[in-house]
Amino acid sequence: MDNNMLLRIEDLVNNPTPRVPICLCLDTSGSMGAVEGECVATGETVYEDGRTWNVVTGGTSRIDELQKGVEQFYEAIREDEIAVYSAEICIVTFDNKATCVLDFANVERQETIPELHPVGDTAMGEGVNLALDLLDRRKQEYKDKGVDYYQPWLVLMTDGVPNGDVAELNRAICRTTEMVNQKKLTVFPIGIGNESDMSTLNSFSPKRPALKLQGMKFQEFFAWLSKSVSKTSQSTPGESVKLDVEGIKGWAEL
Amino acid sequence: MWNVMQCAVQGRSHIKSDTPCQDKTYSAVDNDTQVIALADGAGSAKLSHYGAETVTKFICSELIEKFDAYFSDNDGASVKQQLIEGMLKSLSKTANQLECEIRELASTLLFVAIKNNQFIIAHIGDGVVGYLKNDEMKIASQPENGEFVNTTVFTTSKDAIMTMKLIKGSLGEIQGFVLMSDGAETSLYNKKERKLADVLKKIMQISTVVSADKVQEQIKQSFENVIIKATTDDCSIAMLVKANDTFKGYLQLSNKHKCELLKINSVSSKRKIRRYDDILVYLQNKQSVYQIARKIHLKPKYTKKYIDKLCMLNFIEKNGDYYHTIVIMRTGNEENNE
Repeated sequence: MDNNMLLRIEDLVNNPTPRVPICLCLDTSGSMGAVEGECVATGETVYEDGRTWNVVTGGTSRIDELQKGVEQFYEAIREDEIAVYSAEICIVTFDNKATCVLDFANVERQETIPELHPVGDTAMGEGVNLALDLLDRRKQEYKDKGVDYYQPWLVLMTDGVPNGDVAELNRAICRTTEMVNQKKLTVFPIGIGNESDMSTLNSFSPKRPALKLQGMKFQEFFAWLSKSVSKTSQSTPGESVKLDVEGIKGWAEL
Repeated sequence: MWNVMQCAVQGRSHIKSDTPCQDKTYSAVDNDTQVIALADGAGSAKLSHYGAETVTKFICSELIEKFDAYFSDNDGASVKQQLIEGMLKSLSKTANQLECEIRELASTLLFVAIKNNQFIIAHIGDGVVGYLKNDEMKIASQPENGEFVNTTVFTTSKDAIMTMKLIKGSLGEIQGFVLMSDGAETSLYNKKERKLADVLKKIMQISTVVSADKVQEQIKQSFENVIIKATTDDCSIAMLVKANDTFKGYLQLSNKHKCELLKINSVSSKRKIRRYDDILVYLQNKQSVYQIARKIHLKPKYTKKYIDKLCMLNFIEKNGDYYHTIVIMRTGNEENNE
């Protein structure tokens, strides 16, 4: 092509890509070690996360499937030409305490996803509060550096009943619902397995019910999540991104 | 006299989804009044391209007709109200024709109107309004985004009047105005420093020595090939640039002025200027590098350096292996003193 253009690449301003900050707030309590599929009981039992468990060999644990799902999520984001530059992911885990296991950064810089281990109780309130603090801090960093951003996302995944500090849990619910109602946060509360406390999860989501993951379909969920990130990162002013909840009915129960 | 250049190109995401370009530009001129308007249709409103077209056309005819009345009204709130009411009325007509809700026609709006030595600027939503004064690009109105990048205010928003910016003043030393949508903003407006790209000044300056049609054609080509690559959104721009009434064509310029335009040292030899002159004259008919080299008695590899410089300055254009001059050599009304 003949270069008769008035505007050449070197003349242009290089604005940073607008970011979509996403915090994965994941339950890594002892119950996430629960196993499905073919397994053999060893006869031993162990008391953890508020109940007694039979120790088995074989099968696939929830935490293994969650780990695979998170890794697949990263892969899908890395393969998307827009989302790879806009999505910024942070991982918070909660068990006996809340921990930021992977801080916000561009996904290309987050080469290794930390290994998740099931242990201890379910300090969900502490986990969500830490996630909200990190999202707030990241937004402030964007503002300070003149980087545009989309509404932050909080993905909360748990298989059990919160048994951390009650006041922390109530504070987390208050903060989340207030932000959702003010259109400052998109929240995805996801229940794993049949023992997840859907009523607590619902209290985090004033606008739509929490989703219950069918069986161990983590990979389907994260595939849907990455597509939604991609769609959001291409939205333009006025375009409130319609997340295709219908599309995830195949793997979740509303 | 002021020149108008404008273009709106469909963004990559709209090409992919087969959605029409929702950015629209429009301009109007009548006697002493000139108006340029730009609107970016809301991504969520399916018929927003019709809304963008409606408001840009409305605002151009409204300002052509009532510039003086608006300018002399010192009650800015009343002017804003009249403009918004007029827009909503014309959007309502369009909504009736299309049998849709008025909110389906939501868009941003940016315009500049000039008459004699006065101007009026208005802005609703995102995008940027800039101007060139004393050879420096300045901002007249910043984008109005919410906290998040995909939120802004539209012509149909309840709070449009609260955030609408309205500016009036004397043109004085102002050499040109530019309106751009948020898509073009990605490449031409530094959000952190709140500064416009210097290349806009270059375009405005070129438009004083190259025909506005040709500059517009090159802007469109640049938008289609370069600007849309930096975003998935539609991109548009509209410019209103004061013509240089003293310019009678390149050939009538003094050597000092030629040096400025050619960006060469003013103490450069007359021979160098004459070489550029010879090339520009010769390229009034298209020629290849070898033909030019023969004509100016210079080896092709050295000739190419002159050619490349003239291409960079957008004084000549390349088509295949041939080059031709696009800078205005004679305006037709110059004094014949050659």
